Amino acid sequence: MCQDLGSLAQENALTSPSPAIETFELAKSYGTKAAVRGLSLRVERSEVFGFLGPNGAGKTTTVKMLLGLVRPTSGDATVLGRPIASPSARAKVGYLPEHFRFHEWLRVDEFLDVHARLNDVSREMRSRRIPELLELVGLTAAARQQLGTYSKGMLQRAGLAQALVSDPDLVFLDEPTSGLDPMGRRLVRDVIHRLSERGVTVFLNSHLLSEVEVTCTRVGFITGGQMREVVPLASALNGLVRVTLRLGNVDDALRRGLARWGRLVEPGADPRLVVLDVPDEECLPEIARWLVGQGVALYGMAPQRLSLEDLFVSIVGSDRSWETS
Amino acid sequence: MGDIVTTHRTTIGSGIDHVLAIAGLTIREVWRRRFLAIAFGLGAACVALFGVGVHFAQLDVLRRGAGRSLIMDSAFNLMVMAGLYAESFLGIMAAVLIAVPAMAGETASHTLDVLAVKPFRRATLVVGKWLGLACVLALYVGALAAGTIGVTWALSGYVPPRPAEGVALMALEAIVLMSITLLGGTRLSVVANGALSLGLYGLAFIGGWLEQIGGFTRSDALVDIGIVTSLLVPSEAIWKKAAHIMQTTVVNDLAISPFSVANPPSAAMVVYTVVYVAALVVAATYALERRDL
Repeated sequence: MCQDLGSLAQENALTSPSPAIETFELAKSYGTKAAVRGLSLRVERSEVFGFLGPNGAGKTTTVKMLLGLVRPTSGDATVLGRPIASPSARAKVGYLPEHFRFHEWLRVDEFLDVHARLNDVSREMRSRRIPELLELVGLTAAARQQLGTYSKGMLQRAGLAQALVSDPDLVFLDEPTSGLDPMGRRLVRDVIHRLSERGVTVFLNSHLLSEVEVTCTRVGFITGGQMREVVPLASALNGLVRVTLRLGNVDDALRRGLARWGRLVEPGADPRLVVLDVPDEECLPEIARWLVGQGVALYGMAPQRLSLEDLFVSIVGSDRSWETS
Repeated sequence: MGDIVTTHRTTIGSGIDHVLAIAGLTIREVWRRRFLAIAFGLGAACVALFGVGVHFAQLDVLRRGAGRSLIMDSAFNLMVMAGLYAESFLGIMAAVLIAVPAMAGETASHTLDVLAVKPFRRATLVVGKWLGLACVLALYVGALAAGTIGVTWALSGYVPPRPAEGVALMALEAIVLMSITLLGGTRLSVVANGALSLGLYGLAFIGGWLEQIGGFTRSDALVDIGIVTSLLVPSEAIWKKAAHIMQTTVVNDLAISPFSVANPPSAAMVVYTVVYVAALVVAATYALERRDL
């Protein structure tokens, strides 16, 4: 049976009395410029959630609101069941910012010790956990070097260790692999998998869709400060098909009719071609039957598996409202 | 009930530990950025230079065969006050120089972000930074002033009156400017923050001298200007209080020092300044809490 994308998302959404993140019409404006507009989102515990969108879509502003760094203009949100205005919401939260700047005059072991102390990690626990984290991110040999002497990749590893120092239940990673070489990216991927196995929720902002594709369980697409779509990634990509139809005659009524099976991709130069993203291949015979029933000449039907990049372009590219917002 | 009390105590203990951690981080930054090494190194050079002056003054006293007298004590008192005046200015400069990067700098560079997401209110950041900077300034001004007073005592045997109280007031003067800078840093850029603090110090400085001139020329208008500026920025008034305490009665009464004042600031002015500093810290907390980082 052919399902729509929305019902797939609902079917896969887990239910929990206290989600890791829940936002209700969250909004942020800077003067007349709206950065985030009525964003509602629910991220369950233990999920690895990818938050995707073009530059300026409102991703970092959303994360900053959830972390209490930016005050929402309206709306509300909870993190680990507590309101974001309460500092206690951040007690078990880790954060690696996109434009990370740390106190470069600190040695990395001192840096982690300060952050652990500020997260109420006991001295005894710190002495155990910090060497473990340094080992995890591959910085044991550079533990007594000042951060000012670190490369960008090493700083990012140090930042990742800092995000994990409180043994968090929820970790925000904002572009965690932007400064890393392939080995570093693999390390981040492994860390995310290990966190996921331990039941830690990971909220991942990234432009590297290939990273998101292999790490996330669900992805949300945001443009113009609004959540466009949330889809369970594995099932969506397992079945998602882009079908190109070559037809005898295409009008608006026909396009509207086809839209019931999936998302129409922006029309190209050839007016006889219709491109449609559908949840699975089971939709194809139904579409063919419907077209024949409508008396439309069907000259060709070419299905093709979609990557996350295709999905991203399909969702973000079809919505131009953010470009003028 | 017992659990509630224990939890409450734990929260307070945790809050104090956070403040101390931020204060320690602030002090470590000042140290690692070599401010302390350079400031103390050149401060020691200033004290040494001052000592050379005292040494030759003492030699002159001995050559003339003059013993300890009211005039000699007044001369040494004037000398010590000149040295302390220069050091109070160094304290003001140090206050602005270390407080600008601590708040405006960290906000602009976003190093504050990873601290602000910790599970406590931003008041912890403000109070912790204030405490750390206050400790550094008290140490710096205290060391310079103690060095100047100490070297004078070692070479001439002269000690100004109530040195501990005077030096504490000098530290308070620097802390006033540091607190103003910390508050400005919650909203202003690095450069604007420095300009604001030094500009306000300039206003206080000019107002203070106008008040002094008004006191001697019996001009109520000038005195009033001085009072208003000292209420707005009490740093200069606190220096005058420190100077009045450490100058001898003769120097004060005969007004032979540039720091002698017709109407010395009262103890209420010191209380006002302490409340003023506390209000600045509260205002800085309020401003930082409401700022998007």
